Amino acid sequence: MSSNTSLAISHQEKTFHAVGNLEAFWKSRLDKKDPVARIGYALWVSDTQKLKMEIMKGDSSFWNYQGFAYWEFMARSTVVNLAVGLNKGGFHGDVKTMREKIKEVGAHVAYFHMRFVTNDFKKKIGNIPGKLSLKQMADYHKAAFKDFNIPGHFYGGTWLELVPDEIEFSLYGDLYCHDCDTNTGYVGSSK
Amino acid sequence: MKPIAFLLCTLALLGCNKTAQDIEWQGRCFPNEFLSEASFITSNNGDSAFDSDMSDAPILYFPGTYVAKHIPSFKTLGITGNDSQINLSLPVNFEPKWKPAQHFDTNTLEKFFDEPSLYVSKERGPFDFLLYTKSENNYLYWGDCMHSSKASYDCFRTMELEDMNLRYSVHKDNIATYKDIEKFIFEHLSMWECR
Repeated sequence: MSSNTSLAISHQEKTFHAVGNLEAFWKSRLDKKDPVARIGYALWVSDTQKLKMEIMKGDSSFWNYQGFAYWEFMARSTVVNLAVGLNKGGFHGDVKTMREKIKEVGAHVAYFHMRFVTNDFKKKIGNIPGKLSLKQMADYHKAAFKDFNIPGHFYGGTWLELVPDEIEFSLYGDLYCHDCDTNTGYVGSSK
Repeated sequence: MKPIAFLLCTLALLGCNKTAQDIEWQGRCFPNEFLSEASFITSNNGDSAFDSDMSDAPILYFPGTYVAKHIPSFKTLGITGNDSQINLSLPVNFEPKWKPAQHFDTNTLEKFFDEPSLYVSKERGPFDFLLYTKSENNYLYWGDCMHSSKASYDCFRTMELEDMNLRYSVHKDNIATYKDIEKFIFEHLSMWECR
């Protein structure tokens, strides 16, 4: 990617979002070095080998000098946090409905991202138009989570202040699964 | 004892009556209960991939149920892209001053279906659109809207406030109450001026 690529949300990215292709949406953002795309892509990539390749071939400073294990753990923690947060907010369901709900939250977060980036780009906020600060990212994540009754503190202000505990991982860890659609290993709160 | 009593009286008269978690900024004392947790983030934690320029402005968040107590027509539930129900709230941000270009070609505008005091371009794309208000001789930028689905959208309304801008987010189902929302915001900002 050239260093002067615009961080504006493209028509194609809006289309990816509209058809529910979050992997393609975040891959496009990743190619533009949008910092939020690191976790966005790690969450929605269909094959973790693709994430590994992106990190290996990428600029280590962009990846905050962290490797695949770190970003994969962050993505896994995010999914577990979302599941616990949805439960706390009153949503209960089996693995299929929980996955669907998490994808709804993911689509909503991506929508907020598009709006914030567009606003930032248009008004030239910060040093680089279209590039958000960690504070801006936290701002819209917390707002998007509350739309689904997920308490705001389930999104950490740093990458993740709230790392799920072992019990939560054992309950919901399998929700972070690429290309899987079985209930294997999942013990939902409704059970 | 006398100096302490004097100090307390002075603080009460001149300073903000704020708790440790409130934020004083630009002459206003923002109560913690209306601050987003993101207000307290002060750095990127060494992650250089983010934009390094970080606003120190507080971020306001009014829960929908609170807004509805003041504005009975404010809807607290809406529909998102996947037809699932979401909570509607009122997030408010302070932004640097920004002057939008004004729209002069009045022939290209028409009244906005969801709120007739606003105007929208007759030709618009599938994903986003701008809204304008009508002044005496002109149409002024009101805000930017983006579709979350074919049937729904949210807008960022941008207003001038002193030497900065104020931006709030409003869902399609609440856009007809925008004048009440703005009155509500300005009343709260006035109430929070530090005394």
